[in-house]
Amino acid sequence: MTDTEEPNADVEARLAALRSWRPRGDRARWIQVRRRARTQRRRAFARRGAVAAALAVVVGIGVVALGGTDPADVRTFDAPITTNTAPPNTSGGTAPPAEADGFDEWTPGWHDVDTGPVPAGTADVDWAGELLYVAVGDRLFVHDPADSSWVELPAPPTTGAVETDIIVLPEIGAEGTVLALTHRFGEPVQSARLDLGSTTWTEVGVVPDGYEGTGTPSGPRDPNSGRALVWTGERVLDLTAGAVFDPATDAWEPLTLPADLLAFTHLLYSNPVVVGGETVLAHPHRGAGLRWDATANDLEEFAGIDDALVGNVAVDNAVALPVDGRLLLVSGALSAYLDPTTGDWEILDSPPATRAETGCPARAAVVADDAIVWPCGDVDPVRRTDDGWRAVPTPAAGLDGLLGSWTGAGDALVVWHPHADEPDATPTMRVWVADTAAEPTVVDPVPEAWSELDTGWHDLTPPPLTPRTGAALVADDDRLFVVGGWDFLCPPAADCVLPDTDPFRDGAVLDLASGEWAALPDTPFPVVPTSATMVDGALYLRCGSHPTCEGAPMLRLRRDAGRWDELPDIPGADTPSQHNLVGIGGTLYAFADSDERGEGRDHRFDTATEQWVALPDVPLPVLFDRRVVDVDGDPLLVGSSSRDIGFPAARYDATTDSWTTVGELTPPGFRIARVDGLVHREPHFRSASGGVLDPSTGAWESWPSLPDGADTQDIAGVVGANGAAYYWSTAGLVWDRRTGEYREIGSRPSGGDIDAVHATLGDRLVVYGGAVWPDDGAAGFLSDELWVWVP
Amino acid sequence: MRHEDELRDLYDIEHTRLFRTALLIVGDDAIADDIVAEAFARAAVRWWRLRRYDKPGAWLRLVVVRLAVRARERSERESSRATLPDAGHLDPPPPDPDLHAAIDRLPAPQRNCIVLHHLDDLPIAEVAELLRMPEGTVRSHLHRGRARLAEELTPSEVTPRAPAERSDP
Repeated sequence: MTDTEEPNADVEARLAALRSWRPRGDRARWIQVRRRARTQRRRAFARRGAVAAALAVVVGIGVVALGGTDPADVRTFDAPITTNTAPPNTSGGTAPPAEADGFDEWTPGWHDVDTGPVPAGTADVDWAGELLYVAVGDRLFVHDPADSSWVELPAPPTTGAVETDIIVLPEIGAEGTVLALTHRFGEPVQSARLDLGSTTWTEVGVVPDGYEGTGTPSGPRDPNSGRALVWTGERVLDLTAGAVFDPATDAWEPLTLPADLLAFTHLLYSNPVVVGGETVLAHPHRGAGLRWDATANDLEEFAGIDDALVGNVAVDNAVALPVDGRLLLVSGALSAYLDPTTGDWEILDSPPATRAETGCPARAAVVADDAIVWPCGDVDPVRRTDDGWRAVPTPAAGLDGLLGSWTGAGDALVVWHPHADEPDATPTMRVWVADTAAEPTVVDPVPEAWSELDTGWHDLTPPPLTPRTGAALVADDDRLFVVGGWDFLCPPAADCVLPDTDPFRDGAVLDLASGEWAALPDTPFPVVPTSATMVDGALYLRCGSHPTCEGAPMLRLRRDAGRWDELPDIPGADTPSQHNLVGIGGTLYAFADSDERGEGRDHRFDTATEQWVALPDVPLPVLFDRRVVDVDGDPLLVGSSSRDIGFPAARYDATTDSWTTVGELTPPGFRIARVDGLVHREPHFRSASGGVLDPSTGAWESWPSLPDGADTQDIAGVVGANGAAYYWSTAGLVWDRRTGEYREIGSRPSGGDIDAVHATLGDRLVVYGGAVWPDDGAAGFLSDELWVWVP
Repeated sequence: MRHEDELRDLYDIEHTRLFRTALLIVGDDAIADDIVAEAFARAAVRWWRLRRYDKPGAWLRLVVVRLAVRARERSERESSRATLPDAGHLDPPPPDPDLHAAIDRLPAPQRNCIVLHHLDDLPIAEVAELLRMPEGTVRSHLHRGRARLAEELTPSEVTPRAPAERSDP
């Protein structure tokens, strides 16, 4: 190819030769790609991992309140919460919930919060380290939502300020720093920083005016909160003043502004955002944007976000938010995503019922990882998720209750109305806590509808959980649950020491109809479930042998419940792995895995008394590998005996509380499953024949022989005309009753068979998590993938 | 085909081309490897959306070029980068090391235009879009770049030129 210029012939020939050069980069970095992507995906859940650090900050503030360097300067206030929807925390009182952070323990919905000692007046609000900071006039307060307390911190050194803007720098100082900019009439803006560890203020000088001499009096103001301050992680940009503060040197310096500043006046109506490593100022009407060059301290044109103008950009306020690595920009009826990496714009459909009016003081904040937007006027607030806008309830005070500054506080939105113009008023603080359990957050679209998947393996949207092994994976007709597990990574065939870290307490549930995952309430203690089942819509699980399970290993989560119930343990369950939970005929049963530690240890759970009731002894010899399956609402039990004797199966009748034997001698085998009305006892082809029981006649049929050339001990499952059952999570042969032939499942495409968990859902095999150990000897890693195999 | 396999296939197809583009722009193979990995990681997060694109590879090239341009600007500002790192360890090594070095010494806009137009075979309009400059400007940089390469690669010249000053904005 050539352009229209006349190139030097020799140069062009040498370039052509270089064109065929194919240097091989480090292709092994594919592993790095996967890990980076995983990290980026998990960013939304990183907050959970930061709880410990946040706790340290909370504790630090507590110390300050009780014994700071000058107790007279630090005051605490008890401020019980009033609420218009529900009690402030799940314990129903105002006592501090144990180990709570931020608004963790608050019930979803709107709460009116007592603002305690905070006076009316122009306020600035910031959220950091699970605490809410409020500056009013020349005073500074901290609210801890965990115990509803207020603390007044020492006032900034500039007394008599009519307005103070604050920004919290969590990384500066042992316990963070608050930078305060104070205004007094007719004077330059002064600044000081408060070390939250020592609660001492240090004056850091006058904020320079970067706009002096430019013809522009000042820069943008944040429509949410006033002064356009942004913390980059290293420096504070004050775009209202056109200045930069470096906490490492306690020095301000003016920004170098674009020479053609007037070309950017539309940006006076937006706010700066740090996203994707860039500090960006943009407007949804897509005029030119600005980015801050940290090295040169330049505010320079951000080429690539200078698409053609749409509409009159100078009259609409805009709000910018960082959401999932992009900017979400909202201005009246117009909203758009901007990817700062590529400059790509994605214009969104208008929020529902938005009026296309101009000059609206829009409000927006990031809550529970989604943008909550109130476009303005008499329309309801909305929440942006990947699949569109969703309604957010309005407070009891109506839409007026949304007026004020908005601050995203983890899973909560704080609306602060200072009532600055009402001399006798007190500030209004309203908090909306997102219901992350009841309002599922779409994390990714499912590739296809669950019901429309073709034969073979498909990867589904994974649960919003960290990768793990050993979770409980349980399904009922319309939901798939993942609970607990741990980050235990042990090479194949290795002996490993158990990890020091606790297992997980979190979980998630997939709505099979919508493909949406929702978070489950945390279990009361970390769990590695050894058995789990569904009964009447409730999920029951028994914790494993981990020390955290001791004492109360049985848990239940009822449908739509907000917490787990701790149930009495199974009597006689002296070692945790010896009972299997099964739900049959609306009853929860716990069957001992083996009689070798004594017979008569099978139980059913009576939900009326919430107690276990022993079943009569099974009229069979001492068995091991005892397995139970549902036969027309009754448990049918088979097992193996170490004695060379024959024995039948046994069926329990709950009405008469008695066992009867079923059929002829049970063929040797391992697990059992019911498919198409028949009980399939899995063979071990090298040592046990297995068989198929017709419960109505008691007759066993032999298991079909393996195809010629097949060499396997265990088969993976049975597929029938009306469902399937899978014995293992791994690849292998499946007997397809519909065709009378064996079929090969084939390996899961991503590997990860080690310590994965599986469930049968209808006729499908669902496999989750596990560990991947690459064939090339690279380090293993945990998987969070969810796969389904469709027969 | 599952999503990760789709992206892995694209990785296998596009890796070498993207690596070369990044390498020639940024001039350092370790940074180029990192840029390509970063671009694919970003693609992985967005793959559910990108897979519907007619040419997802074009998105990756866009990201790689912009990351590489920015990385080069940063390295020149921060470390006063003076010379092209030894490219002899590359597999295979560049067939024309003098040309490789001369391209690396070009001012950034000329280098970027030469790489994308002459080596990546992109039409001028596409180069202009990638580098966010008018087509006429691209032609100008190409013209000046080729002239400078011709000057540098004349047989009489055996001493490398001093490193290029920071490119024109």
